[in-house]
Amino acid sequence: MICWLEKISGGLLNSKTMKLSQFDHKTPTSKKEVVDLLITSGQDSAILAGGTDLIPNMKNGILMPKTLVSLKHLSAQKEHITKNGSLKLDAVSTLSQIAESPLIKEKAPSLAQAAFHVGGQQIRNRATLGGNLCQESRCLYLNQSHDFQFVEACYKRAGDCCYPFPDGGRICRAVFMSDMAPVLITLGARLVVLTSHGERQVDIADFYTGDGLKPMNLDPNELITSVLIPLESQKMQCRFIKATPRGGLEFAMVSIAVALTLDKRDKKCSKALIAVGSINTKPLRALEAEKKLTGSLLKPSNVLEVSKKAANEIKPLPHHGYSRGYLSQLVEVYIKRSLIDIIKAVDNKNGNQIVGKGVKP
Amino acid sequence: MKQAIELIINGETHDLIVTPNVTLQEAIREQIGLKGTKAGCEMGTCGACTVLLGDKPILSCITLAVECQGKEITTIEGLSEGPTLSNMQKAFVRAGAVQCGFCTPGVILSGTALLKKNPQPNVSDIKKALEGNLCRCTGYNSIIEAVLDASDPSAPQQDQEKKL
Amino acid sequence: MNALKLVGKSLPRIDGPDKTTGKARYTVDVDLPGMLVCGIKRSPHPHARILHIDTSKAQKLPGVKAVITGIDTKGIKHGFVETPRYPPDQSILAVDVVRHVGEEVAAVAAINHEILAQALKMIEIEYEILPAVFDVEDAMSSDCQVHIHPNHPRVKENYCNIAGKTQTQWGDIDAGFKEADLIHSDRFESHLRTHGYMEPQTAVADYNGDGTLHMWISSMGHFGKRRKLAKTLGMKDASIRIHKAYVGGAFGGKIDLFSHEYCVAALSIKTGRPVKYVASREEIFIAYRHGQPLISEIKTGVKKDGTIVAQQLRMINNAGAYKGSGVVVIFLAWGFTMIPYRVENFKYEGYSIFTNNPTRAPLRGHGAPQVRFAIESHMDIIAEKLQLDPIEFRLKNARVPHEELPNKDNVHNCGLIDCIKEAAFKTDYTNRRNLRPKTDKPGDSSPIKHGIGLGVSAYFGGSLIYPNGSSAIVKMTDDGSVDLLTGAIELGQGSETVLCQIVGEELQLEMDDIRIISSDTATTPPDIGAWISGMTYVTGNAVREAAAGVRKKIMQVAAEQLNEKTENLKLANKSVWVAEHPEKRITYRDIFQASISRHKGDTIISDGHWRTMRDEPFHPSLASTKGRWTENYAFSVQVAEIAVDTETGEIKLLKATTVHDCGFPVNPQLVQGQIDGQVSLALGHAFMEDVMMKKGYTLNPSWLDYRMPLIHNVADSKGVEVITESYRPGHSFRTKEVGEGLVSAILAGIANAIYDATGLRLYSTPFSPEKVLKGLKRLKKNRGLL
Repeated sequence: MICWLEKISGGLLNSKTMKLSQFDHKTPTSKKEVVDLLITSGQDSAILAGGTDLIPNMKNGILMPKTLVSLKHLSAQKEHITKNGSLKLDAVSTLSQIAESPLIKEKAPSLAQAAFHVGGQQIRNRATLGGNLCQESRCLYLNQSHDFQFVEACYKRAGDCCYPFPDGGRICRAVFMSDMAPVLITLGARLVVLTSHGERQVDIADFYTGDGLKPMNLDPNELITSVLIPLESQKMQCRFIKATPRGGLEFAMVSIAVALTLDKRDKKCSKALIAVGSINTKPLRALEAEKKLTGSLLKPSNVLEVSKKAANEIKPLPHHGYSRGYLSQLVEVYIKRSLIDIIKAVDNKNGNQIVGKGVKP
Repeated sequence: MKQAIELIINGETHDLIVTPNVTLQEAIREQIGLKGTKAGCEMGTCGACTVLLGDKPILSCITLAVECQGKEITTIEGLSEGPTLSNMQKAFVRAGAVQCGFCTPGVILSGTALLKKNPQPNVSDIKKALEGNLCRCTGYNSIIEAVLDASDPSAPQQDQEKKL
Repeated sequence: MNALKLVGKSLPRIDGPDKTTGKARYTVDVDLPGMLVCGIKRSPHPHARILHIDTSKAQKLPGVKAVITGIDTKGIKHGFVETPRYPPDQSILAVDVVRHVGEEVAAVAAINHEILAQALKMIEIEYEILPAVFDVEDAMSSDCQVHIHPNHPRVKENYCNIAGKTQTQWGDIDAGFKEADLIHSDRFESHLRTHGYMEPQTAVADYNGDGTLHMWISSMGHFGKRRKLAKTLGMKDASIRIHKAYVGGAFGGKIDLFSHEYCVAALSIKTGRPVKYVASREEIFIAYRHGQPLISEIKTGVKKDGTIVAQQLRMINNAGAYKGSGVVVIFLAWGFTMIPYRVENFKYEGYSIFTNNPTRAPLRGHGAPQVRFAIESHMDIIAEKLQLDPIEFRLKNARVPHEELPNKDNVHNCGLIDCIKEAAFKTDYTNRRNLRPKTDKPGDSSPIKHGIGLGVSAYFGGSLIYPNGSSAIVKMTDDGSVDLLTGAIELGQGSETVLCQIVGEELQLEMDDIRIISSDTATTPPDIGAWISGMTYVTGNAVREAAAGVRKKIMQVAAEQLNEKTENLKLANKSVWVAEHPEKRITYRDIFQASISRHKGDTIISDGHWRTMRDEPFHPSLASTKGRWTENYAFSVQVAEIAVDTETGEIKLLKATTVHDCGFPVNPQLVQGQIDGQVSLALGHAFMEDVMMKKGYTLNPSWLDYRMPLIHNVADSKGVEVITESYRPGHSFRTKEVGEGLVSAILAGIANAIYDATGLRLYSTPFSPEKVLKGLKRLKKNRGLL
């Protein structure tokens, strides 16, 4: 006879019927003040940018900060080219601003594409670049209120189990689903982070941990202030494809980012970066596939090989009802289609304009 | 910690006392009493709670009221001029794009914001602007027709070159 | 129908302006002074015995005004069906046992949401967890150790967890199969999907000092709801007044009596204050009702020439924890099988089986989508085996006008044959099909394959379900305009508009001379409710009769005033005049006054009533199908044109052509709206919607992960009418139905189109990308291409 006694659980109030619990709301007027407030507010504070990830997670009781430090008074510096040629983006730029920016469309079109396909218009108008890069990882079992389902807290909720992988050890396998992250990885971006000791820069390639419990290498009192895309990345052929069941509004099944340095005449590839998002606890690089491409001519026959290789080396975590096998198939197909589209565009001298119908918008 | 805030809704200033955990949707529906903004899911997944912050559609259910201090907000009630419906509202009725009507305020606001930015959208533009609004009744066919109908054929075409 | 003024016209819907300006009020918008908020404590287990409930801490929390559990109710059970064979089996709040995750155990009324949340957590419940069963065939198996309820006493088979059974047969099934040149069997499965209505489940109750319980409920028919509330609350029906509010969609998911509706009422009675409950979207996905998953096993015998000589079916429904409408869907599944095609020798068995899942509900089409997907796929498979043209095969067996059905109903002006021909013609179906065998054309490197597929369906309009009929009242006003009082409920289908058009036609009034007061149980007459597609036919005829009664009185008074026979009078523009001498006229306004003067104060009011199946005492037997069912059979043929991405498995519905025999359209634009909406629902069912459950728990209780079609998924949707009925003022009319039956044939068409495009035959929904890819791989392997 298994008994289950439901008692008052100590301490934290779970949210009910989608109402937020109480918290303090601070509105600093400078980035430095943001960091100072994060420090003084302690562990239970969080940054409120657009809130499109934070607020739903608070309603679900996944995050229950006692203090929100709002970025509402920080206005986004317009994207621009710095003295050394980098494209600098303010972390509080909204995804709408990024999607519509003529400069970003020109210099980093795959980033504009990725921003364009996050959520719907309403989300893009509030969601920020920094917020997207720092979103919580996701899992079907996690993203619910747990009032009467999955009541035992999982690892991500500071509890003691994992529902989808009950025998998987003390590891959280929530998937990191930012679309901007894989794109920025292929563009070799650097993040500028403000800390209590001043600024530091970190390569985005080193920013994601792969730990479902703590997906980012970012301390709770640090603030991403801007993103730098180096000059040489702005000259690459880049593509982004987000595979979704319906074509909009939702998180990706997988997202593919590709950036190639190509000689336009003979399509010889001197540098290749391929990153896949929404595939595991962090975005993954298809390093073997990149190696295969580098130094070779980009043509349909090696496209097939490269995409197969990428699908073999990228290890998907099954998520949101999609199986490993299916996700691998999507990785292969969409990398192939991105590369074919680059070939077509270069052949038609369209450069970074998307050509083929086969490329999923 | 209660705060006094000012929200400018449909051109009228409202002084409210709210705690930070009050969403804009709750402030609009419960404190100010404007019920046209609907709550379909309260988690930012359906678009029924769409309002315009300035001229941009946002989801009021996942936006805090305190974040909108001093800002201009348009709800569905702000589109008509007295008893006269806006062009978009009229177009929706004409096209049969209203059935149960629960998604309608959100869809109309998204469509209205689109036309302000792009007076002559094509079907692809309309789909992109309205992708964040769920409708279970109409199948969206009549909604597209309504937005096309409300668009202004005399306005200059948007620069199509750099469109994604 | 040439000279009609309003009927048959695409008039703009009368609730359009209020819905586009935010003025339209829904239950979820009702706020009353002093209102309390209600929350429900739900079971975290799929099957458990309740050992102990302690609400004392919750009750003591300041701000909590009342807490109720099962023992605080009158203990009266309720059910979707309440008959001697299927007595009600649901408790408002669980008393001894909970049988599904999310089942209601207690309810709280508090002054705000924060206190409510705390109070719910403070309710302590001790459960003894019991073994549970979720899969329908496991639950049904004689080996099943989990007995959710005792087997139905009248079902003798050696199965478990039987909620109900429907069985019927005619002819000689064995002889029929002996006659057949080909016998073919298939099995199909339909999965779990949900309604996705935009307005949440919600109710408000306000108990007044005079003993009236005022309520607002997002429902599909207030009179049926009121009857059940009265019964379970132990109140008189007239003491409960359910007020009008618009309904933000229902699709079948708001018919049953829900626990929360009782709870707000009981809590309001207990506290003397208004109480409101709004379910969270998550609660709706987890604990409320979804559609009926069906397994269809079909065995058909046909002659070489395509005549169907025998058909045997077994349908199995996963009903969930209580009977719900499962015992109805197995009856309907029989109906949706036998209506379109003639079968001489027929045998049907349907089982509804208990499982530890939330109880299921009707979902737009109530079994027809599942059944027609199965049958129409089966038809195409057989046609190919016999090398018959699928159109000819269907035409050979299709019902003809005035044919009698095995249940003794008549199909009257059945338009099925015309629908089939028209659908084939309009879509150029025969030429555009890919003929078998399907091979990849050399040089065809595109992964996108196109296909076209056709499905046939039938539905019914109006049957005998409580309150079994509709009444309406039309009353004149001083200036000659009228008020229409009807219990009809506006869910979005346009009932208010259509009913006003009917009044306007009888009285030759403009739409703005007609005011409708609707769906208020105290002030409007009883109504059949907005399910079983009876609104236009049943309520429409009641409304027409009421308007006709007013017209009769108008003519009579006019005749008296003008000193003429009524036959010599004409009526229009709110006036009546002598045909031969138009200068001899009188306005409605003057007629109104004259009636009061000359007819003892009669202010020209008239009522109308309509009951479908007037000669039948009740609905046919759910168990045996015996008895006449409906007067109106609607037929439809839908053609799906799709594109399949054979590398990703994704399928797009490009175009849907719907040829339907709805009788005649009262408002063609509203009809097209119904078609578009149902095509959308069908493509959701086909490709993207899936309630994912594991061991009784719902994995995707949000619109992020339960994917309903977006505007990106819109299909080009064309509606073609096959008009088989007509409307004449002064006469009752027959419309069929158009609100539910048009989900099915398009779903079937999609299944057939997938086969046409790729050679892949799918036997279960959804036709998810993964399933398609696996199937294509298997096909390639079988063809030796892998």
